[in-house]
Amino acid sequence: MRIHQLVPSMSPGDATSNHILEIDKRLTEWGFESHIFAHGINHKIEKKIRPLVEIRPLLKQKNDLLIYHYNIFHFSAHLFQTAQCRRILIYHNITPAHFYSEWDKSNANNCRLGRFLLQRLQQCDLAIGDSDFNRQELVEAGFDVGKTAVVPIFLPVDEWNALPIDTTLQKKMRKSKSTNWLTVGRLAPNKALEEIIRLFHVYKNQINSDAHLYLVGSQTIKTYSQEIKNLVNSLDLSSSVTLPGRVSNSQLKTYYQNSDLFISASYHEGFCVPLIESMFFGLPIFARNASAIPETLGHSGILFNQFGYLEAAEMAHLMITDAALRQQIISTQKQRLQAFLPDAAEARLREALQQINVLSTLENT
Amino acid sequence: MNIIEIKDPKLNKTDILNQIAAQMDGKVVPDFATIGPEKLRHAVPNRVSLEQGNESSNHEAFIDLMISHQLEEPAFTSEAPIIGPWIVRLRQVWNWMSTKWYVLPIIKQQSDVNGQIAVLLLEMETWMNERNQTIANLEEKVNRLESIITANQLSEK
Repeated sequence: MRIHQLVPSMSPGDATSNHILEIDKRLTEWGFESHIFAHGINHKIEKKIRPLVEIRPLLKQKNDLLIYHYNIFHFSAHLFQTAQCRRILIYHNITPAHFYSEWDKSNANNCRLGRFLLQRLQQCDLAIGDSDFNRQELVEAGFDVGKTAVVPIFLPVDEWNALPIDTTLQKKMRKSKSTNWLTVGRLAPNKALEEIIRLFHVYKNQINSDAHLYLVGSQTIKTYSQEIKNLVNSLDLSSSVTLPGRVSNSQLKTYYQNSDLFISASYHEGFCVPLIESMFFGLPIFARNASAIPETLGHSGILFNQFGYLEAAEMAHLMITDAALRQQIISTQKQRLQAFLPDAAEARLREALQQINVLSTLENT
Repeated sequence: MNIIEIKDPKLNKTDILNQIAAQMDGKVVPDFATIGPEKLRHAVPNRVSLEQGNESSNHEAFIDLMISHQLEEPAFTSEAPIIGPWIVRLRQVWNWMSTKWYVLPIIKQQSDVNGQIAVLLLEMETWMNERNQTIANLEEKVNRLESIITANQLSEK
């Protein structure tokens, strides 16, 4: 049996792309003929990916299965809608448009269309969310609850373990023995980075003057990124806040391993891979109690509902300095991590495919 | 609603919150509403108030236009028994030159134009929605002013 994965774009290091490659690996291991098709293909991984145009004739084969990864509005959704083969939608979530409306009209339009179009992708055999939060959004959009499932994102833990540390960056981060706060994710309005910067300002001025904040992530939304830099300057934090942009995987590992606290003030996440990365690298998590974040954390980490800057800053300080508390948080995070390790994700993928009898088809052939 | 949420049953929530409260004494937080870029001073927009009732009835048509703007080259088929595949192959070879160097670039050009039109229409729709919202707000203000004027006139009488 042939299974085709279709996605608007593939690029190395991206969580969705990695997820697709991992699914491809599992499907091949289980005996399926597996292919990946994308419109935008980064040249570094182009050998593994076929151009979108080649999928059209295959979509008429009734015995094939199409898996469409939906994370942005794209015309390829039309291929999914009109495909005559069996269909699975994997929904990676789309940020609600209003977060972007003041910052990036084009992005806001894409998000608005993307969320609107979701309602029109209901005609499928199964719809999968990376989290229960995403699955519930599918149900709210009108998908049949009995035809939904949850399969968490596959994490490249072997790759994380094998990655070398960036020693130059490590020396720089540990040079002053300062307390390092870390946040990871592209600079986007839904992440509310301005609130993290204000919280850090309170922490630095009222609690610990020897502290540094690293805001790691791409700066593609220029207007928002610029205002974030302006805020850093207004609060006189330019020497203690670093915005390195998008970094290599080695550098990312170095940031995680040399930080004292992971913080996220995001209002909207469909899964939030950096939380899992923090669990993996043993970094205590302090995050907003919003969207999929409490689900991803389970009972681990510490949540906040709103800032309360002074209260939140004191909590952050306690998480960094109270050794027993810190150890307990890290220990519970490690337990929670088990639910997202590749074996667990693989089992959930198997269950999902079993739900539409795809695996039994393989066993019968 | 509590600011801090602790869900780990192995942690003593009360003890932690008491420690925090004790540490907070005498410390002052600046008024962030007056510091930094104007656009970042407001709270992140409320989801419910901004997501309701924004879509126009044209939206479905835009979606159709956006996702079908890419033209497709039709595939050759033949129902003829036995020689059908030969006919298809022959037509493919015959048309290969003109298709590759002439028809496909035109298809791409037209798809690009279609895409641009779809985007432009969407932007116009967004602009019109915003104007409609402004008009609705102004109407509401006018209604309010009218009722104030009427109330004043009544009280003068």
